[in-house]
Amino acid sequence: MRFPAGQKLCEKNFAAPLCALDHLEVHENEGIITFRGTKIIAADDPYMAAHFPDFTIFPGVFILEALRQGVIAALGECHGILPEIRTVRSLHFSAPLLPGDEMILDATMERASEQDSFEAVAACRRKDGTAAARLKVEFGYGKTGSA
Amino acid sequence: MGKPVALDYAQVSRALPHGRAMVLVDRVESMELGVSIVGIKAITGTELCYQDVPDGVALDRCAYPVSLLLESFGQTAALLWLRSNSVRCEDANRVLMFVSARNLKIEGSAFPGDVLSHRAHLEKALDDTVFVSGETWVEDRRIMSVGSMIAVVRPLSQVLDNASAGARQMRVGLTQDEVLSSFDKI
Repeated sequence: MRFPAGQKLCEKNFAAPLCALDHLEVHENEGIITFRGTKIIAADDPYMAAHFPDFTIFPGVFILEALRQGVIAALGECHGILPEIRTVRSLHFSAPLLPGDEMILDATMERASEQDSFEAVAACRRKDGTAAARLKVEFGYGKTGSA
Repeated sequence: MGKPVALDYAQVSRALPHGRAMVLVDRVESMELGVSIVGIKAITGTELCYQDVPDGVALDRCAYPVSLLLESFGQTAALLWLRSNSVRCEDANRVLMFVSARNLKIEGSAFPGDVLSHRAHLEKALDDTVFVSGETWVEDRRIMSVGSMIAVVRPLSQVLDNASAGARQMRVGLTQDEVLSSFDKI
């Protein structure tokens, strides 16, 4: 199950701090999945007023959340299970995102050596081209040790 | 060896610059200044991250988001740094910024009703850069291990300067001095 290219993301049926992407376009070519997600940073999104009360900055961890939601939308369920983060190999923030900024997240996913896992490499930038974050994350269906 | 220090919720919320909805540490169970800390956070189904989850979903859809798990751990580490360095209101024009992490392994999930125990270790502090490692447990299950997390202390003015021109223009009516003078939670 995949989101059609260009479909707006606005529904969640899983726990998430906010809707971290407004739009998503997904493409697949020879087993490699790429997607571009975008979001206008909004001061009235959940948690935003508290980060911080006198000056709002998009939490860096919400960029990781955006990648997660993009991966869920791009890969879809497998036997009713959503893909989830298994390992954050590296995560680096380089510029803040403030209300009014447009966040652009470009990601490439390839199947990893384990059959049910994927390696995602992503770059996040502001619309003005400023790099905001780089991420390398392993996703898989299900996690070990769940309750 | 230093004397263990514990913080209650009121002390935690005064120490962190975050507003209430984003304070993701409920109390500090123990802390050895400059060395390590154990921070506690209880997960409940009434939190904001669950507000859009439909009724009747399977339990796995209620796993506490990894993004918030990481933020909660980061705040625990921040409390260790803030208390170890006696950061006070006079330092309010500085912010502790999470800048990078490596080798975060997610080994399990946490759900409403679980209590997170974040165990953070201060590996190194160089001038304005802090290196932390640690683990997060739920009872006897380790659910996350943090290979390395790095935070830096920066003047808020520098953070503002690095923000986009468009975003800064949206703050019509607020000068930089006004923003700095109102940032006094730390």
